[in-house]
Amino acid sequence: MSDHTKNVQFVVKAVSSTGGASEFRQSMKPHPLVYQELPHDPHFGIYNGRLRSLSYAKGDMESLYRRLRQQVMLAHTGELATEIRGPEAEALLDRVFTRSVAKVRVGRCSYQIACYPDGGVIMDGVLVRLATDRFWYVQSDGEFYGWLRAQAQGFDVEVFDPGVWVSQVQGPRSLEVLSMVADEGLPESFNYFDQAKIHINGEPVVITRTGFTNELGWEFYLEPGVDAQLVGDRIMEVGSAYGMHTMPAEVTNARRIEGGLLFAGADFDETVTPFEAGLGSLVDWEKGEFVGRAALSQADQRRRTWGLTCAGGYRTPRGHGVC
Amino acid sequence: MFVDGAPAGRVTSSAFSPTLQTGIAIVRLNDADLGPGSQVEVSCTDGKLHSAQVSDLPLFDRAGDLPRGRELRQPMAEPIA
Repeated sequence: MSDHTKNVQFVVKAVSSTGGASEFRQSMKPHPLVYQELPHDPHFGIYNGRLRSLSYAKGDMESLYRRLRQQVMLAHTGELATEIRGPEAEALLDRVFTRSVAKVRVGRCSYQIACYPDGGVIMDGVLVRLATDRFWYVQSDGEFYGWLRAQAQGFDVEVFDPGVWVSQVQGPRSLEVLSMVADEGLPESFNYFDQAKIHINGEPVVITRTGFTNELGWEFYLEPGVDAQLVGDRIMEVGSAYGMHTMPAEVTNARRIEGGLLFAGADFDETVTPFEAGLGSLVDWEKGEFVGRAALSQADQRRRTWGLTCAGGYRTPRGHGVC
Repeated sequence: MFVDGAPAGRVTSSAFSPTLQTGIAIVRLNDADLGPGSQVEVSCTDGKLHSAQVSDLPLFDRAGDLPRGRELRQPMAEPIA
């Protein structure tokens, strides 16, 4: 690294529109509810070609973290959903993922990873079974769509981008907020990793009881044609009574590391097997053939990815110091 | 990361935990025989080496009570397991 950039980091910031070169902005698309974050002067990173706030210039990260642990917080993410639909959707996904997809009932979600033939982990994400023949795979950062399209050759399925944006409501008060914002009240059954279809301010919204914080929480999925502002404003209006605030990745990141939730591309990538990554329990030997199975059956099954605590870890003046 | 001065692996992500009041990280160890309880030296962003301990994940709430709603209130300052 050059001395000129040693203490420099690069971020995206919101500025007054200058026009021009708009085609370059296709890889930095803003979330439809990003306006809720702009008053905090966010610094954005790029996640799946989408903007994700990393930190706020105006705001104390530790206080936002405490709200996440004690109240409820809202995160607008760069998670990317791919839709897999058709008579052979289950068969395709059972070939691509290491855990059984056949066992995932309609209305349920499943944490799923995919491997290359050599056993290296390509991607992780939450698979949502919307119908017998219809799924969303809501993935972490990185390229996966092309791999899925290529694997789909010969299967009677469609694989496409449904244009969905994902936000998370997380924290111990999150289900109280849900009960207030859902036009129908809390879904009759909404257990951990369940999925439901509700209305918020009259708009249809898919929700799942999942997240990236290891706190109680739920995620909502904004589909094309839905008035995102009607949904987002209602959640913020109700959430404000519970101390809700938007939160950047710096806040969720501390919590997801505590929670042992891995970050694709950083904590694992295609150079490590699920065993090395600590994801060995996700390799289901009882299911049929899947990509990577032969290589994984020969692989060293010992784990090499762990947590670390460092009492002397440096703490920066902004309260988000690191080891 | 180092053990007895020899490279032992690397930090793949890190943060400061207000709950545990300590630096935290996810790490990949070169030696699969090392694991929770192993002591390492880790190079921190202050440019110095600090002692650190390999730990199981999650760092707390190992039963997953919080996301499952089985325990809604947990004290902020908890001992490191």
